[in-house]
Amino acid sequence: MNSELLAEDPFLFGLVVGILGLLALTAVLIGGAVRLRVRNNRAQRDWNSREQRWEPDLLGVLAGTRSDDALHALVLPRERFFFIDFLLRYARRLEGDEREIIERLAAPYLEPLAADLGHRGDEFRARAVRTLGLLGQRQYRDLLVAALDDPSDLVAMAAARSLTQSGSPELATAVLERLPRFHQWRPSLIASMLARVGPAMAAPLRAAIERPTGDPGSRAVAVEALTELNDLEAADPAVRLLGQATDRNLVVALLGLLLVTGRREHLGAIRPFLDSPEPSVRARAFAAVARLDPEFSADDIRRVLADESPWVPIRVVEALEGVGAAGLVAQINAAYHAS
Amino acid sequence: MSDLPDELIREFALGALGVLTELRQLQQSLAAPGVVSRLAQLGHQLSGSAGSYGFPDVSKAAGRVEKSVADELPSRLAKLVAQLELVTKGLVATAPQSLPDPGPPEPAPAPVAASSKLVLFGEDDPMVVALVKDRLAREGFEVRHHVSGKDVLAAAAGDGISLIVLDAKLPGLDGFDILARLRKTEIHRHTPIMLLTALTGAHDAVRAFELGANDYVRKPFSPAELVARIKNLTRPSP
Repeated sequence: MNSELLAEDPFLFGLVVGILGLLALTAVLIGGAVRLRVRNNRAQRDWNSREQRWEPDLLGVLAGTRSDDALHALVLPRERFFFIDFLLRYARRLEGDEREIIERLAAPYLEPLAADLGHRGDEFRARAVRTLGLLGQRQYRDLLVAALDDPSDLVAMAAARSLTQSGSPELATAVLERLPRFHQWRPSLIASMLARVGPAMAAPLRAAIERPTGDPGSRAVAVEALTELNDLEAADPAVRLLGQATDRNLVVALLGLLLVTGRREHLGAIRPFLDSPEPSVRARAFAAVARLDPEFSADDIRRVLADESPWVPIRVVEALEGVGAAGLVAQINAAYHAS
Repeated sequence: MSDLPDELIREFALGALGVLTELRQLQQSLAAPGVVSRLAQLGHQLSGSAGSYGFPDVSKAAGRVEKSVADELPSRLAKLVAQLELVTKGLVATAPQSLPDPGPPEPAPAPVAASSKLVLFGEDDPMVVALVKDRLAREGFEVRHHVSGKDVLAAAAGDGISLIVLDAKLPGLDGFDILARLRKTEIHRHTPIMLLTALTGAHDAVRAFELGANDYVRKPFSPAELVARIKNLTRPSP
C-alpha cells in the first residue's frame, strides 16, 4: 500500500492501525492459550507420573504385601500435598480396614493442613476441614468440632458434613447443638445429614425437639431427621409439641412425622389442623388423617378435592405416595376424575 | 555420578524406580508362556494377509513387529532392566536420604493359570478398576475390564466367564440394562452377576435383585470384602 495514500487519508490510516492492533491482540491471546495448554498438559503428565509411581506400592500396602515406609519413601517433601490428594481420592472409594490403612498412610502428612485451619482464606480452611474430616477424623476431632463455630458458613458446613459422615452420634450431636448456625441451608439437607448417622442418632434428636429452649427452625430440622429415621418413639413427643407449636414450618414437620410414625390415638391432636389457614399445614394434616383414620371416607376425600387451594390435593397425594399409601392415592385419583 | 543437587538426584532415582517396576512387570508378562510367540505369530499372520489384500504399509509394520518381538525385544528389555537396576542400586547406596530398595520387586500378582476364573468387569472409575483388578489378580482371577456398557455386553458373548461385576452407572448402557439383557441370554442365565454401585437407595438394590443380580455391593467398599463375596459366588456348588 502506498504510504502517501495512508498519510493523506486519516480514516484509512486508522483502519490499518486498528486491524494491525487486532491481529497483534489475537496473536497474544493465541500464544497465551497455547502456553496455558502446554502448562496444563505438563501438570497432568507430572500428576500421572506421580500416580504411576505411587499406585503399585499403595495397592501393595492395601493388600498387606508392602510396608507403609516403602510407600512413604517414594514421596518427596515437596510432593506431600499431591500425596494427600492422591490418598483422598482413594479414601472416598474405600471403607473398612482399607480405609483405615489410607488414614494411617496420610497421618504423617496432615499436620501442615491442621495449621491451614488458621488461614485467612475461607477456601483454604474449608479444604483443610474436608481433608482432615476424611483422613484424620480421630486425630483432629477437636479441631473439626471447633470449625463448626468458624465465622465462614462454608467452613462450618464442611465441618458439619465431616462430623455427620463419621457415623458417630457423639460427633453429630455437636452439629445438632449448633443447628441455628445452619439456618441458611436447606433444612432437609441438614436433616438428611443427621439422619445418615443412623438409629443411634434418634435419642439425641428426640431430646432436641423436647428441649424447651430450642428455636422452631432447629426443632423442625430435628423432626425431619426423625421422620427420615422412621423413629416410632418420636410420635408421642411430636404430639406434645404439636399442641404448643405456632411456627408453620415446625407444624408441617411435626405433621409429616406423625404421617409416618403416628397412631390412631394421635388423630385428636391432628384434626384441628384440617382447618388451618395455611394450605401446607392443611395438606399435611389431611394426609396424616387419611393414613391413620380407618374411617377416612369418600366425604373426606371430596373435602380434600374441594379445598380452596389447588395445592392441597396435590401435596396430599405427594405425601401419601411418599409413604407408599397407594390405595389412598388411587381413591383420591378416582374421586378427582369422577368429579 | 552426576553433579546435580541431592534433591534432583533423588527425584531422578524415584522416577527411575517407578520405570524399573513397570519394566519388570512387562518383562514378567512377556515371560509368560506363549506371549512372545503369540505376538510373533499375530505379526506373521497380519503381515501375510495385509500384503495379500493390498495394504502394504500394514503388512510392513506387522512384519517388523514379528521380527523385533521374536529376535530383539526380550533381550533388549532384559538389557535395559539390568542397566537400570545397576544405576538405581548405586543411587540407593549413596543417596543422602532414604530411598526404597529397588529389589526384590513387589511380587507381581500370581500368574493366571489356564484354569483360573475369568471375571468380566464393567467400571468407568480408574481407581476402582485398579483396586478391584489388583486384588482379584492377587487371588488368581483373570479380569477383563471394559469402560462402556456396550463393550461389556459385547465381551460377555465370549466363553469361560465365571462372574460378571457391573457398575450401575456405566456410560452408554447402565448396569441394570446390561443385567437384564444378560439374564435373557442362554449363556448367562445362571452366571453369577454382582452390581458394584454408588447408588444407596434400597429400591436400587431391590431392582437389581429383581432383575436377577446375585449380589449388590455399595461404594465406598472394602476390596477384601468384595473379593470374599466374589469367591463365594464362584465357589463350585457342592
